[in-house]
Amino acid sequence: MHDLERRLQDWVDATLISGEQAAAISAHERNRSNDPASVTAAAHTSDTAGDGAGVAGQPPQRSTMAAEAIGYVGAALAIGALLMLLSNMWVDLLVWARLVVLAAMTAALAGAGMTLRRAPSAAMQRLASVLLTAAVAGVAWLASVVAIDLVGMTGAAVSLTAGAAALISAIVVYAMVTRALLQVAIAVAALVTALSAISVPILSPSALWYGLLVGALGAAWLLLARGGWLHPVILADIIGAGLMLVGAQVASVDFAFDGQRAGAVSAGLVVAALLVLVAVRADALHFLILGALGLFVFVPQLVFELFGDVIGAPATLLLVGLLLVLLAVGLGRVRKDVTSRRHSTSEVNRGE
Amino acid sequence: MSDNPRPGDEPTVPSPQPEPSISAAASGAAPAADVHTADDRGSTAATPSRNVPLLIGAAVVLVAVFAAVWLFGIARPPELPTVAESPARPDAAIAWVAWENNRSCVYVVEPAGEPRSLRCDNDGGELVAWTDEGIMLRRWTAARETDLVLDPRTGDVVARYDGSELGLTYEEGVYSERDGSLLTVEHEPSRTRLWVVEAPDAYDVHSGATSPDGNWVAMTDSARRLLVVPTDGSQQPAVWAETVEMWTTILWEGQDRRTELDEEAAG
Repeated sequence: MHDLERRLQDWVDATLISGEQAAAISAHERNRSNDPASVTAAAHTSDTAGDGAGVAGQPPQRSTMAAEAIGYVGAALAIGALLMLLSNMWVDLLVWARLVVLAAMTAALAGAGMTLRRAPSAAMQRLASVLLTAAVAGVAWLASVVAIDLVGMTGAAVSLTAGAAALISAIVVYAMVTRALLQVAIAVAALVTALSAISVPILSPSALWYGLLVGALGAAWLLLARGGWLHPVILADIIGAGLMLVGAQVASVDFAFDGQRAGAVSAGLVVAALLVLVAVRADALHFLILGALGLFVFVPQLVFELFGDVIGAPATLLLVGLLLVLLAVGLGRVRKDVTSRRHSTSEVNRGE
Repeated sequence: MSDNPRPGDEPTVPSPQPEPSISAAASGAAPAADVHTADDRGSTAATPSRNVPLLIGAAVVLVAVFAAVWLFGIARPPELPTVAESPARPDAAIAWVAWENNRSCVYVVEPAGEPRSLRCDNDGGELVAWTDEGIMLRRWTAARETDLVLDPRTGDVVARYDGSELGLTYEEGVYSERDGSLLTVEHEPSRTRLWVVEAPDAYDVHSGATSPDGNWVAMTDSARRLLVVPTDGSQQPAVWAETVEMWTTILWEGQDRRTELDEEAAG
């Protein structure tokens, strides 16, 4: 507060603000610091922030982060030990006992998470995010026990039930607490649900169709990110673009018809090239990294697919090597361009 | 598409990008025109506006691709009659082991009956013989191999033997070959053509076993069905049971897979 008073006096002396304005600001800040609700309100603003964010955008201190990380490792070990104990007695538990144990555990996690989400400390909010994500996993586990032990489901029907339950609960929680970890939970649950749904029929489709579905999920994720439905946007971009690239790779695995592998790899190459293009046009470094990864993965595959039998392995390797060198040089230049533009943009912003 | 300040970023001087920044709003910057307050959270936190057409677009992409996969990607297995509908049927029963929900179950099906679960537990095992004494299930533990004899009606253990003195024979049973969409299934020992069928790529047969009288071959297929077909291929396969694991050991009533151990090979 003393620092504020000194700076206000500086601004009055520099005729930036009047004495009345300085007094008003000083009184306002004094009231704010005495009012606990204002602290909580500030914490609420970071409900929509990424899991690495501090309160109201303040970066967390390094020592706090280290202590928090050690705390999570300890908690993970303790939970692992508890799960091992539980797994030993799991087969001896009656169905209702399993359901009660899981329901209580999930409710406790969800309750603790919902309580902590409004805590003023950033570390507590991150813990809330972890607890709520664990609660989503608990819902999935509970659903799988219902599916197996009560309904008598097997195989993909069980993972479909668990995935769908997790997806719905994750979306509901995410609508209340928009955190990065919960976005990842939605993505994983959506992926499990979609892939399980097409695995339920007796004869599962070929890898081409699985890849197509994964790619479509990635495209939908990008659309949702662009539409402001997913935050943090960069994480949504990475998940969406990553799924599109993975989808192309999955689709290239089998050989259901002639040219399928070349077609799938070409599609992956096009996606990777588009990501690099978008990165250049929009100064988006994360797209550049993903696009570069995609190019390095798909270019050698396509060259081997198209020329492997025609020019022989040594010549193909030489061609792949040359193309990768060209790619590395080109992408290096693009990266320099993107990062320098990002620096100059931030300089301009700072200048304003 | 630019890397604008986003939730979680450090607060900066508001930049002229169209995408609203929550952290900027929280740090005191004037909210953009398309920013509304999130009253449902009981705070004055601002959330960016959401584009409904893009939400609909994402839903359309997912629904369209899912429909395409469902319509064109999912293959159906060949339609076959049941054993009850077939003109001829085997006169011996069959047993097999299946893992279901982490429990190993021994199943039995009579020629004119429905499959029934004989016994389920967590210990697994492999079917080795079906004699007058009962169905023999071999279990491997760290200490020894034990052959349990199960009553084929109740599933109760009626006897136990040391299983380490006798080895097991393994029968290939069936061999399948694909030419485009045409699947040809042959009886492995005799190379007799059992079945030729138009089937999707994902479809195949496995785990064949010849009946003790040599007249029938039982096998599993990718659709998790237990099929039975005459060894001369005179009639198409018939479905004897559903939800059978593809890679399982099928044991005919009267079959004995035990054999004297080859001391030299074992040595």
